[in-house]
Amino acid sequence: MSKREFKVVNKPLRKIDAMSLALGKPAYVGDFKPADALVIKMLGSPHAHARIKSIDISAAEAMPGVHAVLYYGNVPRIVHTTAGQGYPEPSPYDTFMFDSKMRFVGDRVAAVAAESNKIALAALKAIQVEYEVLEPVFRIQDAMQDGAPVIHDEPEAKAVIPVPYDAKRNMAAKVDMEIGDLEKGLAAADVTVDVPFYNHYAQHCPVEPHVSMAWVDREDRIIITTSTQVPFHCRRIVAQTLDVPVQRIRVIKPRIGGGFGAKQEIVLEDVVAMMALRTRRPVYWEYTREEEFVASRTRHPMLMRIRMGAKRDGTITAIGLDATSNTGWNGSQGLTVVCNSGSKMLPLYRCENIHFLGMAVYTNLPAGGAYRGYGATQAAFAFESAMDEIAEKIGMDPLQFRSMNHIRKGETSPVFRALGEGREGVDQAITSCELARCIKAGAKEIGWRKRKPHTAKKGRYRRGIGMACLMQGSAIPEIDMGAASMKMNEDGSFNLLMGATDLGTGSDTVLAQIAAEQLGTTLDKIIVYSSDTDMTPFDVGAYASSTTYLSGQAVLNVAQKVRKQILKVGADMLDCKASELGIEDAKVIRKNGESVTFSEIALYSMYASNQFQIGDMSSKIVHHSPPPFAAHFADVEVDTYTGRVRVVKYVAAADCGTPIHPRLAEGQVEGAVMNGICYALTEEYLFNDKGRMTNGNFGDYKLYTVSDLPEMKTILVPSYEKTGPYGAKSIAEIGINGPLPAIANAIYNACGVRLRTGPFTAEKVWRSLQAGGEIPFEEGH
Amino acid sequence: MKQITFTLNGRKRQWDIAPDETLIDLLRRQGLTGTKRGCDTGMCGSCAVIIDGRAVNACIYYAFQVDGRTVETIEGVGDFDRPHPLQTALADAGAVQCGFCTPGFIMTAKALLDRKPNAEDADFRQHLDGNLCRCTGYVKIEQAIRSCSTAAEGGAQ
Amino acid sequence: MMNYVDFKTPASVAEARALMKELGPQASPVAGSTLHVFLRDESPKVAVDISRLGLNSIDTLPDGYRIGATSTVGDLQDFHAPGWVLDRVAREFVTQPIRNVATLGGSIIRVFPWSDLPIPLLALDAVMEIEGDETRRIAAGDFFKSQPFHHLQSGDLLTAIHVPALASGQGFGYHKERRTTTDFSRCSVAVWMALEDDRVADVRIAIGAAVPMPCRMKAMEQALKGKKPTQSNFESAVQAGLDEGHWKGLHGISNEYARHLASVIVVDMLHAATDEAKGDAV
Repeated sequence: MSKREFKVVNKPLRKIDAMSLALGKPAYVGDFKPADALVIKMLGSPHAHARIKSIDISAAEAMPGVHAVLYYGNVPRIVHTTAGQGYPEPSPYDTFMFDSKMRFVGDRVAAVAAESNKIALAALKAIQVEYEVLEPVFRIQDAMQDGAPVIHDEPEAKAVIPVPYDAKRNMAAKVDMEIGDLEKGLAAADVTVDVPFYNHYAQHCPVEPHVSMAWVDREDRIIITTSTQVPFHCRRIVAQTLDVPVQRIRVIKPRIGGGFGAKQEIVLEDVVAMMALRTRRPVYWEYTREEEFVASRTRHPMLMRIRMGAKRDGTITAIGLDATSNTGWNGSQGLTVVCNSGSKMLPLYRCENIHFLGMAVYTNLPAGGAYRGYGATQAAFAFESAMDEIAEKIGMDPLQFRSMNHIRKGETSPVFRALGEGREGVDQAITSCELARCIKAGAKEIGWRKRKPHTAKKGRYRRGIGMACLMQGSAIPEIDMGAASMKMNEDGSFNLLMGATDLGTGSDTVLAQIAAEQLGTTLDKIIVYSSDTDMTPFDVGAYASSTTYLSGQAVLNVAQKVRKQILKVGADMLDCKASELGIEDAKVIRKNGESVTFSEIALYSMYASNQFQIGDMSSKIVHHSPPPFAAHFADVEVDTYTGRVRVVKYVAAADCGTPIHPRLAEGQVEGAVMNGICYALTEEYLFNDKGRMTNGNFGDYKLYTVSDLPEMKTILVPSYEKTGPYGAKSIAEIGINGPLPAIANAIYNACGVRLRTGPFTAEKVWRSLQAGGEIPFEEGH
Repeated sequence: MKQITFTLNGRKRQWDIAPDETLIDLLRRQGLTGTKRGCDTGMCGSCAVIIDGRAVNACIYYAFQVDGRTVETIEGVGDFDRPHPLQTALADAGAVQCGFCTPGFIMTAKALLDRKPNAEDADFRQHLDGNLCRCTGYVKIEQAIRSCSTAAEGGAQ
Repeated sequence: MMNYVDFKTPASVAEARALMKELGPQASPVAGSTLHVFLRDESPKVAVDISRLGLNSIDTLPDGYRIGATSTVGDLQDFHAPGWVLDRVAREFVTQPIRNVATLGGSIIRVFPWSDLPIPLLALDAVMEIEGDETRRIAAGDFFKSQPFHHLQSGDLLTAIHVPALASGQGFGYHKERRTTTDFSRCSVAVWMALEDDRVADVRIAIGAAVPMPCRMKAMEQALKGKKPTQSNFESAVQAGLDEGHWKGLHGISNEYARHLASVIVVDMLHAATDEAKGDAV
């Protein structure tokens, strides 16, 4: 529960940029494209695995209107990772700006910068390439075989932190953790399950595809305006890749049209920067939707094996999770995503014997990356499906089984210390948890009490109810850092400058609310400027559900410092001690009623006496990563004749601490849940046998629209997270993890069919029904 | 290049166009960047504009097709000092997250409400089915837009 | 989109036809342009805008409707009149902004496996009107036997589509199986049925998406004629006629499932058509 009354925080105020965006004002990268910008187009590899035997760019270069052609022969060969992560990155260095080896259909062959799209496309056709086609490998199981084609056989490929890495065996990452003794725990169980699951490929589908532009300014600096979640990592990695000093690069993030993790990656920026240097013209590169699917990043598909044991009384004696991801052609975020499959779900239920084995495997398919949920989505499907299976085996209501086992406030889990992001984790006790209330509220809303077993259902159309419990984290403890600076203006307004990156979530608004609350002023007095590497302090960027919790504390701290300065000037003006003063409604007020306004204080400090700029800077690292919790419930209808599944109602109850902006917090849940529902039911990559994606467009790759919307109910169950700003923890990612298991469990409850591979297409459900409950397990894609 | 004449946001325009130019390319080239490009295949609705009273995806519509017609883009809908009720409703409902899809939603909703001010839920579901949003899950967008129908309780006039 | 090097905006059918004749294979008639996303023709063409020829009205005839070929799918969706059924088909067509510009003519002159509109036109036994040096009429069954644009000579224009109105004792059922409301069809079925004395006097079943080209299921139709409209009669007729189809799953579904889907949906639509035929046709 909230521990105090707020004035700005916890209020559904208008998001600060909402009106300008609704008016269609220029805001996004593409809206600032200079009229004289050159357009970049990339020639993609037609083969999933090949070596370029010869390449001739001369005809393309000679075409009128073509200004530059880049390929492996005329750019620096510097191994790096495209993952926008802290330094040194936990992702392997296995990527070059251009290479002579092609590792997936769509891999970079050569880029053209030309006066128009048309000329650039014509130039791509004029590039002559001869390939030596190599045997490709697409499936995890095949890539791990002895003698499998080696995707990264270049000598430079390496891990830059001390972790297992074996490119010769296509192993991009491995982590192995045991607490207690899994085998002993399984032996002690009355019932066990040992079941496989497969999470399929999917893409974030930000409505704005990746887009970047760059130019070289009069001081010979490279100015990059880009749709990124990680402007500071972007600056560092582009500097590394081009071999230029960091100081020569400025990265600006304007409004961005959604990211969801896809833009936590350096996908376009190295090439636009290089092209700007080569051509000395503004250059612009925007992915087509098809390129967005194939050549940006995806959710890591994962092969799971889960073993669980429980006693008849409901005690969980053993949990074993083997998670192997298909990291595709590069190992971006491979280690950390798979680590999170363990660390973000395994602490959810009490258990003394836990084993986790995580691996990431290279293949010749599109690369995985960061995607909302970040490994927890994949684990939640396996784990929460298996929870239902084991509950059924011991004859216990799955809700009761979860309720008796889930972690509570004051408790801890050995997993927190054992498993971090590419290294050991950080011990922590749960300082806030309202999962029990989430379960209760959600169960009531969905009508859990009326739920009957599938054996009691008849007829063509059968309804079923399923649930899942979830947890995530809030920032990466002891690693992530965010900073903010603030200054006061003479009208009592404040400039808040932050590295934090609003990717459309509304974090600029949320962070400004925190500042306004602390300063005792209103939201409209905070002028936010964020994510410009020349102008704002550092922040790791928008990922790991960190911004409200981490950057929010940096903002809170700087606002506290500025508040103190305001009080000091106020004391000077009112001729009293600062301790006699309080702040209310943008005024410093003395106990006797005397007051001075913020504007008077700012004017005084600027022009009257002891002049100085009221302002400061703060940075923050966090020592905890308090999990948000959620209970999700799905009510589905299965047409047993066709296998078609329709979600009738979906309930998500979530504990995010204090919702700083309740409406935006709900929006995070609703957006994540909708994305999760589409992932569970309709979104999938179709590949032909050569590894080419055949449905990379919104006609074939289906997202829901308003007309598909089921009844959606979001319930925020507030707690107060004492380590967070005003009691807040995260909310952005957790919601996407629920639909896969909740819908799978609901389908089972409807018609007795257990699905282990997404998406839950009508054909799969129909085939499972034909097979009497389950089809043979298969690694999909 | 060839000249076309049409009405854009209430003003007569005579612009030179290339025969294979799409309407979105023309608009953005002329600085009307509120019309967004999300897929270039007519399947996301970010580029929706209103042509002769109907919502149309500008990315799969040739510029020459607007010759002699009346076109309305997001730039003609409202401004800070006089926002359209749809713009106010979406902004206040928390329905604008990244905002990239917002102009498209406004154009399709406006095309419907201009023809049918008392539009009902089923009308909205049908008429907004061409707009993708990945941020909001549509819940708040739908609520906000519905509130602008005269059929809504306390709805627009 | 197409590689247009010029565009023409004729004001009459005659002018449009003359232009197209003059331009020959370079001519590219455009009405809605929504299908151009799927075309991969890079040769230089001249666009002939046929959207302003007055071919966009829906006229009521004694026994049905004459639909101008450049009527949009949105026009079909918004039109309501006795015995008119195409609104049910139109509202399931892609998305509203596309319905607003895609034309009926454009949606049937070139058929894709997933095309929606040929299916109801086959079930309704629609007739296409083509204006050439002389005006011709082609029944749907012939029109959709191969790619319909092959019926047109240089300068010919598809000008209208005639559909019958549903009469008393007749019913129509249409279903488009898809993952989301805006999806391509996985299997579309349209059924037109006439009942007399609680027996199937006449029936036409058309199917699409689960087969390479939309087609009628004549064996099923034959098996139903004279039978009572019951579940078991429907099922046995459908089973008896299933082998007639060249089942082909689109978008990742198997041929076997495509066939199964068709068997379920045809029965469903036979029921839907029966229910309507038993009531008074609207």
